[in-house]
Amino acid sequence: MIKLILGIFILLIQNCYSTPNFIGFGYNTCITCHYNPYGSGPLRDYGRALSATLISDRILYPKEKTEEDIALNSGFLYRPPFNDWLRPSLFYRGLALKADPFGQEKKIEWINMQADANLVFKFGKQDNIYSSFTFGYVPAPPNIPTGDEGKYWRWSEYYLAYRPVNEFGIYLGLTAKVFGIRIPDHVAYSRIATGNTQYDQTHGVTFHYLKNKFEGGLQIFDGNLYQNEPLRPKGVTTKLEYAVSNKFKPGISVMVEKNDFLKSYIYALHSKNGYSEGSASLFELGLRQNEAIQTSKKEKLVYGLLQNFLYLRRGTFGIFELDYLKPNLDKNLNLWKFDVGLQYFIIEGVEFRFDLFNTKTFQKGPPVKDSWALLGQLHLWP
Amino acid sequence: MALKFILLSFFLINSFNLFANSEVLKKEIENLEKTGTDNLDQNKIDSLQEMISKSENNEDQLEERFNKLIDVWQKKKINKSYFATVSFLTWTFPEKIKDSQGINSMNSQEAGYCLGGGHDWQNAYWGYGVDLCLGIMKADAGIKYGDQTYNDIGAPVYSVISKPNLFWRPGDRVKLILYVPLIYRNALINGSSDIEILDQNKYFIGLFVGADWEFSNFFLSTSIGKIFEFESSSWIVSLGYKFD
Repeated sequence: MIKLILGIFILLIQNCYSTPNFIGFGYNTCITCHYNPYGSGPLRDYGRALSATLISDRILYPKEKTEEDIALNSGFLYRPPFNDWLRPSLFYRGLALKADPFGQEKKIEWINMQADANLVFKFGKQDNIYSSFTFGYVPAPPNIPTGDEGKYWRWSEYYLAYRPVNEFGIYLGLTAKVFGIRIPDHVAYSRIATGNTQYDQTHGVTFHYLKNKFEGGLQIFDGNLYQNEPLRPKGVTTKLEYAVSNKFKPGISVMVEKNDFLKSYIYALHSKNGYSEGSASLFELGLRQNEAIQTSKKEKLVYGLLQNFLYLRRGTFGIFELDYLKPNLDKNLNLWKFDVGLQYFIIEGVEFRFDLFNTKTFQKGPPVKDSWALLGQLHLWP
Repeated sequence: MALKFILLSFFLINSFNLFANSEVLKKEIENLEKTGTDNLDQNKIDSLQEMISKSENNEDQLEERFNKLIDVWQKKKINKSYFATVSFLTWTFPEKIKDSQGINSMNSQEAGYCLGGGHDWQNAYWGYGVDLCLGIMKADAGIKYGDQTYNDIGAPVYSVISKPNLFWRPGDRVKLILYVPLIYRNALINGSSDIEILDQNKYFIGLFVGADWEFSNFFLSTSIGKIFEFESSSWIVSLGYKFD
């Protein structure tokens, strides 16, 4: 059981930096801070400055250091940008996992979840043409035979971006799929059920439109070309959002994908809500219908996410998350997961996070014992 | 001549009164700044505001200083409110049973809804409250004996839950809450000819941590905790409406 939990966490925790909960500060679109309009990956200069002066604690800075100074020195390795056209970044995420923390097992696993290097090249006036390349390490799943670890040095993202006007952009390359709320926690059922985990980036073209209160994206994808052709899901996905206010942004997503074995239709409703200064709740409810190509057998699953952030003080957030998965609508099995967490950004580029996960399984028959996992994470992006 | 004298006297007396009022006002505000706003009440605020409106002393910025004091007072002032909630809750209860092996324990996984309401007292920084709800849940109870299983699926469980709580408000629309729930549980799980269910009616106490997010008059509440004597954790997720 412990190995299974460990395997799931290694497989699913993601190298994602998008933080949609910052709608709590009134930032309701990812492109404000990220080069990728759907979040994740490297931050723009403005995003780094915001991270340094709004999100992160200033406990490590002397009192006389102004917010302007902190913002100016929020670039790579805490320096101002050294030119106009190149932005390097490094990312690291390490995870301490204690499965069954209330049990007899004393062992704590340390897992290097990710070590990436990224380069963004910017061209054109007002950065309207740029490209991003991210290469790095992700851990091999525990069942991979010895000797195959090398393949887990991989490209996790590369694309060429062109924004002819501020409102519209085209992105061509390898990116994550455009769907639902891109939260950093890929143990969430909303990410597993929609095929948006650590290994699910896809080659394709993404169109992004943002004007006034409306934001829409369309992605046509051909799967990850490093994957075997028959397994590679190809399809189209779209996400539409409308900002009712700067702290309330509901949306819908629809995806159709197909490989040689399975055709899937995925639908989701979501809502991002901000409260007070920095607090937020993220809600997503989705349905996935899978159809086996050979047998035409259909199955439906339902998932739900309610992830709540409580802004406790500058740099510190409490997390209360509820996840739901019904893997098959025709079967009486329901999975519920509760996460209580604490997230601390001690300085821009250094995040500590602690989570206690409690999973309950509901099925007809004798009750299944709850499972627990305690996680500590260190995330660096200096 | 007499009229001039009367008008001059009236002017002098009025000027003296205004000066005296300004001095009183200044002293009152300085006193509040020194000692705090704990003894301030609405009547006193009204009377001081009237004095400020008549005062011609603009040098000491009395109005701005007084507005700051009112802001502090309002933030400390305890406000009361009533609310109604509908909650989803789940727990696992180790049902005590008597079977052929003697006294044994059979887990009963229970989930359902709780309808109720409550009252809280809060200022801008902290507060406390209490609520009461009536729960209707379904139990899936079962125990394995080697290859054989005893099940009672969907048995009704009724409960009365009160949650006294203390909370901190890190923002005006959010709360971090500590609950001490008191629970009366009444289960109607069927036994069999071989299994007798014991102690189906009992009181319990627990300790929960949770948070609230308020939007307009509605609020969303999630909490997790331990009910002593129960298995593992228990969760309560509520949607509430606050009456002004």
